[in-house]
Amino acid sequence: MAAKIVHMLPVVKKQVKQHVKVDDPGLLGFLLGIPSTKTGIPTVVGLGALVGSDGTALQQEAEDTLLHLPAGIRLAGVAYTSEKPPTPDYVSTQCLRFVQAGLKDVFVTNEWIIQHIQVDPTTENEGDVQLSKLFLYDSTSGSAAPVDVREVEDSSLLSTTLLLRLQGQLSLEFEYNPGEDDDMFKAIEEGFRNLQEKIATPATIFHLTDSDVLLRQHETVDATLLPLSYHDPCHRLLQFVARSGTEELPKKGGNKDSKARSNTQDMLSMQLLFQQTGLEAMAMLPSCVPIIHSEKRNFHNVCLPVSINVTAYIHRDDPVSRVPQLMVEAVSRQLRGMEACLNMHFQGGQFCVPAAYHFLAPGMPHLLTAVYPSSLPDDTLEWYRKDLHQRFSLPTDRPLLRRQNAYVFPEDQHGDIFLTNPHEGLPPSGVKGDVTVVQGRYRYHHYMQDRMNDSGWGCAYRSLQTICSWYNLQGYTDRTAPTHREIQQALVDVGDKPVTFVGSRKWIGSIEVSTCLNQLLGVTSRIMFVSSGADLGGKSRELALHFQTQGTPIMIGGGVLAHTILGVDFSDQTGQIKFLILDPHYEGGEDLSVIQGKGWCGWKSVDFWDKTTFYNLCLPQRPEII
Amino acid sequence: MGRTVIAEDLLQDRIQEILKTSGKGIITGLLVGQAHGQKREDYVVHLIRTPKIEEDTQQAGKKKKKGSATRSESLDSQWIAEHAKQVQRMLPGGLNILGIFVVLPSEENRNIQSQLIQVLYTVHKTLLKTPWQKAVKTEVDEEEQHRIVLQICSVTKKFTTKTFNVVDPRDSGTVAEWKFQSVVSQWPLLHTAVTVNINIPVLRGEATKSLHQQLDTAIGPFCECIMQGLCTFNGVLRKGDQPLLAQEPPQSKKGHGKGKGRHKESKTSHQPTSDGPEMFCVQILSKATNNKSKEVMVTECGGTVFIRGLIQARAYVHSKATVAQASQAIREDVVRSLTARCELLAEDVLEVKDFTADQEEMDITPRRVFGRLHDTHLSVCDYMFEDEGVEDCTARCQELLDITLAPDDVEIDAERLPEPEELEKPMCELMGDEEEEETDGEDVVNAQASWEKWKKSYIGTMIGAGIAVVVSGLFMYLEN
Repeated sequence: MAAKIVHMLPVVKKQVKQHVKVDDPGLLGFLLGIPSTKTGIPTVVGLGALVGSDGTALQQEAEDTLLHLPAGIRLAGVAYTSEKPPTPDYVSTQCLRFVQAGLKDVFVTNEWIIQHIQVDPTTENEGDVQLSKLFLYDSTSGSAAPVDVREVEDSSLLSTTLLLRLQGQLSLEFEYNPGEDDDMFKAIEEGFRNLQEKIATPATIFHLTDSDVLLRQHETVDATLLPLSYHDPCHRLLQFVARSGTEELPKKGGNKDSKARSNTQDMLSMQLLFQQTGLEAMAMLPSCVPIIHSEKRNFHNVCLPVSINVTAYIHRDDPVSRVPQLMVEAVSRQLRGMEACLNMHFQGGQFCVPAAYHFLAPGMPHLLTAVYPSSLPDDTLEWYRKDLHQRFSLPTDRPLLRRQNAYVFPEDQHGDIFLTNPHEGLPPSGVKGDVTVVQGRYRYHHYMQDRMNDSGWGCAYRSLQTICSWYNLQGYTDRTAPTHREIQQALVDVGDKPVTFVGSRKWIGSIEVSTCLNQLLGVTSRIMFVSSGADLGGKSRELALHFQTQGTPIMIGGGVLAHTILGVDFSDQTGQIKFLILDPHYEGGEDLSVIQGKGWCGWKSVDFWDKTTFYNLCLPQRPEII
Repeated sequence: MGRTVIAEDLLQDRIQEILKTSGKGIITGLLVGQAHGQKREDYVVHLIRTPKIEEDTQQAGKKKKKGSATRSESLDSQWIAEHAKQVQRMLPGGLNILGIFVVLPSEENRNIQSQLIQVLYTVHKTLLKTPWQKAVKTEVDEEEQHRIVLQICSVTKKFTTKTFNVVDPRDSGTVAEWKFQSVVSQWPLLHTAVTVNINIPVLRGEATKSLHQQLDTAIGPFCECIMQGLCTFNGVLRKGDQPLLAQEPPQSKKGHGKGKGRHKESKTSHQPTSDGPEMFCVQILSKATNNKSKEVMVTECGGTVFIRGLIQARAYVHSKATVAQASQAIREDVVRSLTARCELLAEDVLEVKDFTADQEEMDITPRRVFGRLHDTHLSVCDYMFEDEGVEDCTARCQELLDITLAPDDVEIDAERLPEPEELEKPMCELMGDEEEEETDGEDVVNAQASWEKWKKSYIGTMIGAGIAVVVSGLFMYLEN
């Protein structure tokens, strides 16, 4: 019998490594997997680490993990550390303990993927994950067998799966009489249960957006009548979608488009509908003429909007019939998440509206989902995010799961009048050194935008706006880029400038930029001084380090000009350096081909800087928050 | 250029008959039909004479001041409008009141001219105010809505047809062409069975209002959902601008539709047996709620209204109609039928008892029965209360629709009355209680269970009651 195969993304190794504690062996968390119906080979895509205190039941940990994952990603097994060597016998005894802990209900299949990581507490070696071994454990027979692990690229997830998305509006109505909280919680529970049941009935229909395709969970009822079968591979669904929007995109994307497209995942967007007619709708209702009941009773009625907004991953070759199944599962997960959110944040007779957000954190191969209560600002939910960062092995020094960080689906990307990351798609600088650039996203602010004629004086303001947009887009602040007037007012407020400064056309420099960042965003900056533009070449290592560790855009001012530095390309061998410059003096429209073609955003050599003037650089620092 | 009014050929005989009975007096009435929607054409399929005001009209326009002296030359626009209101409820989807007609001895009566326009506008305005019109009102008010005034001289037999844009009160009318042509035999039938499951809390302040007002608010959101829904035709979601009837017959599903169509046509002798009108089984898909609010709403309520049951809807569209027109027609019929029932029930209950007194109340809405419009396959309908007989329906059809129906012609089994056990007040469903399932994994299992549960309950209803023809037709289609 050939050994079974499991695919694994390299990112899993990194994630597991983060949680290994040599001196405290034990269960690390759940392995997250995406199944493939066709090949039968699951792909392990991540780790859902345990974050609760020791007493937290494993089932609760499992549920807390699942509620933040798109459907299609399931709990596929566990990873644990042990001092013992990985033998099948040892693995099966370990697993028996997990069975006893109730994990059988948690896993969908009875074949669990087990990662055994051997640690040696006597050495300082921080749990080398290389020593790990994977097994398949059969929870019915209780036996474990080693399994072949094939490492596949993180990006292979994009090419082998489809991203499914469903949106729909439900509403939850329940009775609430002040003082009768227990009854209310029961009513909420029942209300959510009814919604869960409603989603599972054959009246539930998923309408593939911009197509004639209607999908239902029960394939006995084939409502498509199209040249499409429920047994077809689901990537065929892409052919049925009328692509109306794609024609407009290339203009904005410039030459990056062709490159970007191969990198974007194919997505199927759906709407949640319910059939009001026919047999499917009749379930459990009288089929006679309408009967009207009315009763008189005083009570408070709560009507809560439930906005369904779910995602799922599915193998491109999986059958179409799995699409509606995954959607039902995704909605079910989200409803559970919303119920938990509603109950957790009910206070003093006030209800929150749970809303789901999706996140694609850098380095993360898949989306994460979080349900946040509408009534609470991000700052008060830090404790909740902290758990999530830990659970999914995200860095805990930067915001990644704030509402501002939410993933914007390609179909929703419109209405932003500013260009984002115009440097993307530029040809290489030619230095062939180490390229370090801004991390994350920023907007290109330049002369003449927002109906503000600042030609000749506003370049530093614009550079500051670009920096602020970075902090906004990265989720550090809700605040969008300040206007010229707000910038001037901030400088007056700190006593840096007289009141007459507001409304003037006076220049500002690097120091003022750092003052404003501090005043408006609470961000501190480092100031770097060079006495001549020619000396900037010598600062290459320092600048590269800044982009590696801080990753924020740098404002540079010298003479009468201000620019934004977005990155450096520095070669250790030749000592050659080029600067990635974003020029705020551009006065034209948001046309990427002009901006890149005419060098308004581009790589510049050191002669770009004036040898005869000194320069001040403002290097904004990242606050350590999540 | 004026509009063209195409009257169904079968109406020639009917008009002859009306002319015979007219004598020297004035006869007024309503024109029923369908606007083409794309071309400047209207199809008229029925002429209904205004019921005589002196008669004791028990069911029709009740609270009508009988004393108002009606000189033979003057037209009672209120009375005609009231009649129109009643007629509108009895039409299937797609058929509407397109205008009025008058038969009178002389064409020269100028006085009548201005009165006719007056009647036309009154009818239009009255119909606009009906709950149905309010419910189906589309977002944008149309700029043009044409209504027809047909004047027939009982002496010269001359037809004068004019159309008025009723949206513009100053419109002086445009002469239209009137011609007879056989059209309706090819009009496709659309049918569906809609499940109503409304559960609406009544605001505390409104709990004392009349049943009519309560029902009006209760069904509002449901009607909105229906009107914004999508329709599938024989299971297919189609583009709105396509013609509903394909040039070539669609292959697979049509078989059933036609089979059933032929069955229905068999009564109508003069229909070509080989190629009857097509039938479309329509399904309406809609969002679960129309509530766009992003906020929690907490309201003080004084009661709850539940409406639950099944409604049979039918609509007819002309043979060149688009998918969008067909979809509009059937959805309008759903709303029309629900609003009509609620209105009728509220009127009925009002007469019988003081609704506001009771703590709990249960009412059975009247059932929809269908009858044939002359020798066509088109249906008209009536609503029959529990305590009424078929003769009540035939009498109403005679009086309000000007159609003579034999009791056997009335299709009374399209909908059924509740069995005693179905009258129970719906408790907040605790269906799932016995089988508490803790599923943390994929919920396919759960879904499967509820599908099984559903199938069981469906089979239950099949056995429990003689289910209507249309529904069993649906079942065949699903089995395929």
